[in-house]
Amino acid sequence: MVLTVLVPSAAYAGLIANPLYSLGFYEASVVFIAFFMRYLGKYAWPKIAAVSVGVMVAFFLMFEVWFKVPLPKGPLEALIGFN
Amino acid sequence: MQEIHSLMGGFAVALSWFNLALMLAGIVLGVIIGVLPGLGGANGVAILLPLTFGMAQQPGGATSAIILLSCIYWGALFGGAITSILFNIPGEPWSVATTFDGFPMGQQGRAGAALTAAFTSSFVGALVAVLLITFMAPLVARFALRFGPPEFFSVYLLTFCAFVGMAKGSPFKTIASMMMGFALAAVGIDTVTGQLRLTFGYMELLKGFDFLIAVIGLFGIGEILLTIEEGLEFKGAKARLDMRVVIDTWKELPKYWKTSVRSAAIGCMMGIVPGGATPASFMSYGVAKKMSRDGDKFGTGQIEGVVAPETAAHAAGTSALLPMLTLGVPGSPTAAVLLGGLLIWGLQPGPLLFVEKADFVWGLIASMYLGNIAGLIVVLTCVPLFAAILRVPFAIIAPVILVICAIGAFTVHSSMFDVWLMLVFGVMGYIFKKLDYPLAPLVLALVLGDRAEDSFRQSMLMSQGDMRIFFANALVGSITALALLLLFWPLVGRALDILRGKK
Repeated sequence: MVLTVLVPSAAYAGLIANPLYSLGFYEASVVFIAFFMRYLGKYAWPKIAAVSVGVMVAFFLMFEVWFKVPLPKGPLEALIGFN
Repeated sequence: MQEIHSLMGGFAVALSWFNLALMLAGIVLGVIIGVLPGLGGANGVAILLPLTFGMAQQPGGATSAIILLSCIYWGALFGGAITSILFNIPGEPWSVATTFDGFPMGQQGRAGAALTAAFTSSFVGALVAVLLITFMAPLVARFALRFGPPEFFSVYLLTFCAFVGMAKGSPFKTIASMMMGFALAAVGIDTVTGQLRLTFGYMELLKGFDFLIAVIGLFGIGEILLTIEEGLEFKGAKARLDMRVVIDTWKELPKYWKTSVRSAAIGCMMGIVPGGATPASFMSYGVAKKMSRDGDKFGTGQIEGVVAPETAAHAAGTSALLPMLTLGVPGSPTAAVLLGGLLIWGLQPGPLLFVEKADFVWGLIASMYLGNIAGLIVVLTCVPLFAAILRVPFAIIAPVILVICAIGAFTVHSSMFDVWLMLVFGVMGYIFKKLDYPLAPLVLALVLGDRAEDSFRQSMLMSQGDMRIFFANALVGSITALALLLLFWPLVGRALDILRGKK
């Protein structure tokens, strides 16, 4: 039971923190939340997309814009020119 | 009365619109943290600590930053009671004792009365502790100005020994957990000689283990892993509080003033001598059960059984800040995190803080009064809102909490390695909980290990290796003796029982 959380968490950490290619905190988190909701909660995809993206957009605004705490960013942020 | 004068100055600092807004934000965040499983006072404050880095750099910003963080802490103290009473799930370890009578009350349809009693007695406990801090802290600080390395080491020793002596479970498990903390604290650069210790050639280990990462991992990730295993479902009483119930309960509460006074005293004592809020709440519940006329009925939904642990927990949680501010010795893991915050903002906790940063200290103390008043109002009016958070399904809340933990761990040092470290600590926290080892001693040892070592080695340099320096004068001698007494307290207590049994 514990492994169902631990393995995805390790994979999540691997997506962000590895020496080769970092996906960025926000992108990795969207994937992570989506996986959890699908796998443990069996939600429909539209709801998953809404929640996972919505939460991370809120976090993005809070950390990067409001409190100006820089987190590692991935390709998407580069696309909208936010660094 | 110089204290009153300083306190008024503190109110002038704390009473700006910006600080009041931060107080409210802190309380609301704190209650949410207290309600959610896996996020508690210690790791909640640790995760939100990076948010204050920018704030603390502005002039006077450190005061605002500590107001925000301490209010999160008050909020978490308040919030733990909500889930205990409504769902029989203690949101925080110190509210476990609240479930004994709080949940039965909720089942009988008296959840409103139980909540009101819990919040009001929390408030009373905190108020007593803040009054204590207001008048005691300057005295302790003035006293501590004369401390040298041997005195500081004896205070650290007292902290460690108190943990062993006051431990709820096996003292050996406490010692084991503490030694693990010391071992982790030793990693990195030796502060006296500058040599590398236990790094095994890894650059990442050079700066040692940061206890903030450990706190986020041990308490946050560990808790989530446990919760997943237990397959949490939230079923419980409906939360509604109308003013009539609140006022009726308030009318009833003065009857229990004896319990309140006793619990507040226990709480303050346990908070200052580092026992922490959790043992304080249990101890106070036990004492109330013994002393009350309705003692036999405890556990079936007595208001007194809610008043006792909540008053003590809040009093202990608040007074844990007294040794943190005056001596730089935190009385609880959350106080340790606040201490870590002070260090990061460039403030050195300890007796000099009262002289050099009087604005900051008194601003913080004034904010404790205001923050707790604000907290009482917020929780009394918004209970249904907070209870609704618990109805968010676990499959959504769990990954979000994990993401928050990861962000918190990363931002402490902007280090990727810390994210991995946090996961490792999470597994460790889970194993510790499963095997019933306490986590708080590990955290405290990790925080204080380096400084205890420094003061020990400085004392040894002063005395050229003579241990008698710890008994050299009345002051250091009595603290050391008290520490040793506390260390062997379980044995002393048992010996007394045997003696009494023989008579």
